[in-house]
Amino acid sequence: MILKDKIKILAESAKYDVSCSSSGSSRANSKNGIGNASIGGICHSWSEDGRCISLLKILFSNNCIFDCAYCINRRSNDIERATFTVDEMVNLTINFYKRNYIEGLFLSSGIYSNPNETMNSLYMVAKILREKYKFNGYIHLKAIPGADPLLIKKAGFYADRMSVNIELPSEKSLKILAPQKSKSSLLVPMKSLSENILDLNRFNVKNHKFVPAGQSTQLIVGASPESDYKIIKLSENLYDKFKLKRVYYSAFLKVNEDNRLPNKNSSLLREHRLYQADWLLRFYKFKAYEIFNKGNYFLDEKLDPKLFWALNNFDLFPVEINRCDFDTLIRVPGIGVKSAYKIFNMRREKSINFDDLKKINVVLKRAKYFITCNGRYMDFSLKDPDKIKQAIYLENKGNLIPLFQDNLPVISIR
Amino acid sequence: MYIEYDGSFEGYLNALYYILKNKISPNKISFKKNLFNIESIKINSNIKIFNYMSSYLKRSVSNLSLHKFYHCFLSNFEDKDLLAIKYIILALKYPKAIDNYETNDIVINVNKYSKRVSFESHRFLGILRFKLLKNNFYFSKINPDNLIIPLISNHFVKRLSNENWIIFDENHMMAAIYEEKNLSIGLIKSFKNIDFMLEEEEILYEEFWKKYYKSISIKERKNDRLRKNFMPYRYWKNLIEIANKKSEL
Repeated sequence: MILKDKIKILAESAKYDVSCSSSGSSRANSKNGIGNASIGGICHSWSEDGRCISLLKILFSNNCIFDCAYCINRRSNDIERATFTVDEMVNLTINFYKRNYIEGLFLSSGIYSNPNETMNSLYMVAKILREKYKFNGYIHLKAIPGADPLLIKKAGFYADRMSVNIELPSEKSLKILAPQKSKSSLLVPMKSLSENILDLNRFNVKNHKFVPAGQSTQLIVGASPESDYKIIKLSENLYDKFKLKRVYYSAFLKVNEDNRLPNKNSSLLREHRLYQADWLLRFYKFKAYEIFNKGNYFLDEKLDPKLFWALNNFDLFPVEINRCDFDTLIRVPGIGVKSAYKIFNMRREKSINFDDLKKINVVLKRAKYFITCNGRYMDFSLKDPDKIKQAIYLENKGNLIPLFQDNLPVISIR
Repeated sequence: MYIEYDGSFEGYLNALYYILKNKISPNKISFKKNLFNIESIKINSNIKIFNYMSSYLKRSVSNLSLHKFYHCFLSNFEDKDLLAIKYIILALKYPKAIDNYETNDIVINVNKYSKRVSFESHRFLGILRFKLLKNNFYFSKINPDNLIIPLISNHFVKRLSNENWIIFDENHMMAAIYEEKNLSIGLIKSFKNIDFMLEEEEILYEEFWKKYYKSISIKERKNDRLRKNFMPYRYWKNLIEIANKKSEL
């Protein structure tokens, strides 16, 4: 098979992996080496679906001995199969990188003979890139479930980021949809990665860190019946206990006929709301139980989660812009972390009024119900959460984020 | 008063020196020729004055203010020369407070202009494409709105430190040439001594890249508006993966 066809098959098989981030690692170029890693990450292109292309995201092989219901590459599917050689993979990465097409490599694979052999191929690609070619660009490797922990650990010294996909939000669903995988086969490598990351990075050795950009994971939303609360709670645990850098969510897209799967694609808007809730956990110091208090198990698709929370906890408002502390400020709908910093800096110079807020791009349309400036509301604002909710539904009607049309969903995985 | 300088940052700081020294109010000056300019002054690029001014500014204002001032200067807005002068005069007067004073009109505009430049230069770290030439140079042609070559060159010096490369800004006729570990940046008229034959394997890798680009997108999620938001149409002609033509320079 010629290389061009392999690229086509193995990129198509990899496209359902959501992550393409190249941030979080700062790797300097070495003597006679190629490249470096930039801490903020760089996007190199955007595909037709509007997703950023930062890394060469590809499978080493799409042959797979597993038979997960939702996965396009499952054993029982009749699709074209291909496998790279280590040299082909290395060569492609170097040549794409030098032409500035990519920031590095994101290599995953179907489990083509057994977990160890598969993991070994990924390891060899990373090893040759780093040692023979002195490649200092970004490398993201998938940790293959079931592979020898020692092998995964060895790979971690060459990778910037590693990930184990947790696939589904509960063990029960895993049993039904991915019978060859189990909670422990996924959580064990995750746990050992997180321990190694903490353990091996205590000494500040440049360019010899263990998975410096941390680990991430991905799960499918809507292939199984779990609630939003359960999903966000799971993410919270992963962030707290395993120190994950990111959890990616992927709305279920039906690529296989299988009666274990729902008939409908899951809504993109739900995926979007989960990302927003995830954002609240990571940057706005929320806890999962706060977002979902008062007996809610699902987010309101029509309201962003922060607004949803604020309306459910209306007794905490209004907040006085000129006096409140930072953590309170970032919880106000319409005020983000950046504008909160601006407000804090500005407060040192002068007392803030609504005009000032407008100038620094606070979304007053949202914030006005929840704030006062020097004791005053912006205009005669509604003071009843139900009425505010109605007003916002009305505003949103017809322009409900044009990005997310119905039945236009995405998927997952391997 | 009409102030004329050679367009370089060196010349610009000389102009700033002249304005400050003669205590000219920024409201009375213009960097564009017009009917009301009775007086006009031509500024020379004196390197001594430039060095003096840059160390003076470094001493007197915060790094952030200096950063905004320089980025504003590199932008392509019509009134950027005057705006940056007004801003730096304000920054010299209130060196501590200015970074917190986000609601001042001058500060708002400088923020806007400098953000535009920073954003574009970051964008080009990604969407710049190199083509390998027969003479072993990696060559890239770009068409940015702002003068970003001084901002992006260092990134590629670090990244491709063992290669020879050229980045050529066609809109501003400026180039960064990195050869034998030496970087030079300047305005150019043409490339006379460079042979632009493509290396044979170049075509192959471009084909691979196009194939990859096509295969990685999820058809069910097609969203052209979103793509164009991130990657505006005006940049497409130099992007191998979506430019609708054969490889050329």
